[in-house]
Amino acid sequence: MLQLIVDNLTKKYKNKTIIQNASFILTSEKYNFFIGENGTGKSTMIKCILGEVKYEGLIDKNNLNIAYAPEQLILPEYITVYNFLKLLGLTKNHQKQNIDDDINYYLKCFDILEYRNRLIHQLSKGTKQKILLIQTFMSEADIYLFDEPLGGLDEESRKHFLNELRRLKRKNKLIIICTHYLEEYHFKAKTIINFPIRGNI
Amino acid sequence: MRLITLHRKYLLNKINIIVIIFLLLMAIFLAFSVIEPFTDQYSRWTNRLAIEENYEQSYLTFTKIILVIFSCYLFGIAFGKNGDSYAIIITCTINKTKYFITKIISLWLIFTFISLYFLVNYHIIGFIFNDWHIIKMATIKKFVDLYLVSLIYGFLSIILMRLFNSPYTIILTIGLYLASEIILEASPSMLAKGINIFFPTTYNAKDGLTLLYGKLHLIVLGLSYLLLSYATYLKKE
Repeated sequence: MLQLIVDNLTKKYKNKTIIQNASFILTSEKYNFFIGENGTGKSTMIKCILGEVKYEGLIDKNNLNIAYAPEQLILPEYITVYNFLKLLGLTKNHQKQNIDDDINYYLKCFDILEYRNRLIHQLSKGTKQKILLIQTFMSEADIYLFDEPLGGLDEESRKHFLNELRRLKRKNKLIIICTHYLEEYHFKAKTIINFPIRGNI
Repeated sequence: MRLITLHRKYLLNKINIIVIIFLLLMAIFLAFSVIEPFTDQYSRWTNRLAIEENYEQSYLTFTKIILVIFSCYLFGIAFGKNGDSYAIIITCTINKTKYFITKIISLWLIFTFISLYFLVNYHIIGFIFNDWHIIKMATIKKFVDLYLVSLIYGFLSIILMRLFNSPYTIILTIGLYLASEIILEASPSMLAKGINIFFPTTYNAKDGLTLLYGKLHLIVLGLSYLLLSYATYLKKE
């Protein structure tokens, strides 16, 4: 079982306290959710977990690798979908012999196989969102962190996304989802971290 | 190598490609405008030394300003909020030092390509319009000086961008360069010499553009700024 332990974490920006003394444990046995209103510290917590910002307290990741799907991200414009996924995958140590199969599998899964050889700047916002999810699923990681993953997805892609989450869960990966729409996730085993956090959960 | 390619793909976005094409065209226009191509052949031949000297001086002066501005823009924007936003999906898997070094290499490659283009363009236009044009080692050395000066301002641009996280810092860096240039051009006083230690530039001496403290100073300063930019990259949130 994989674990991520957050112990007594406090994060301040200048004089404003965003997260105060947060303590919780996330495990791979359940789907883990960060929920809460805008500006309550969900994204800050993600940045803390990713090691992008400094904080007081402890985050024990046990040296686990993290794959992250941001809600939005600027993608390179003049590269095809396939080349981008391949380049990013190989950069992140994806096994070379499987990479073509994996790219094709996920493109088909999210119903964008026809865009395989399109330049990224020609794609819609929703398709770019799918590419961000695919690059995360393709990462060889232990912890998978998704920020508002369902935002730009159509109904069919949402189903595929949830299926892929189940697949990761079966592989005993630790999954964290930051969302406003908890009702979309029909999973039984959930750990829900409600933001703003004040103290132990 | 893959990470360098990935950085390059991010760096060569629509805006940057337009800026680069504009620079490439500008270099040609610049060379044309200072080589006086429409003066009659007889007078060109009679004044060939003056024309060649003027061509070199003017082209180098414009190149210096353009390369410094481009360097400030390219390095600064690459480490700005948008230009570096993709780091978050890379640095969760790959360490930040590797990310930083490969990004610097990618920027350096693009900048070196543009600088080389300015040098090659200078000689091509020179050979086309001036029969007496030759490749002089002294001119190439001056180009190298300008290249190093521009790189230093590029690294400075990264530092300021990381510290203040605003695109206006690019203008600030360019302003620092122009201030140093104007102060040194006005008079090589103690103040100008002091400023030139941290904000180097070249000045017009008898044999053309010259550095106040030499190449070694530029290399040491460049490496110091590079290390500082690395430190600010790691420290600043």
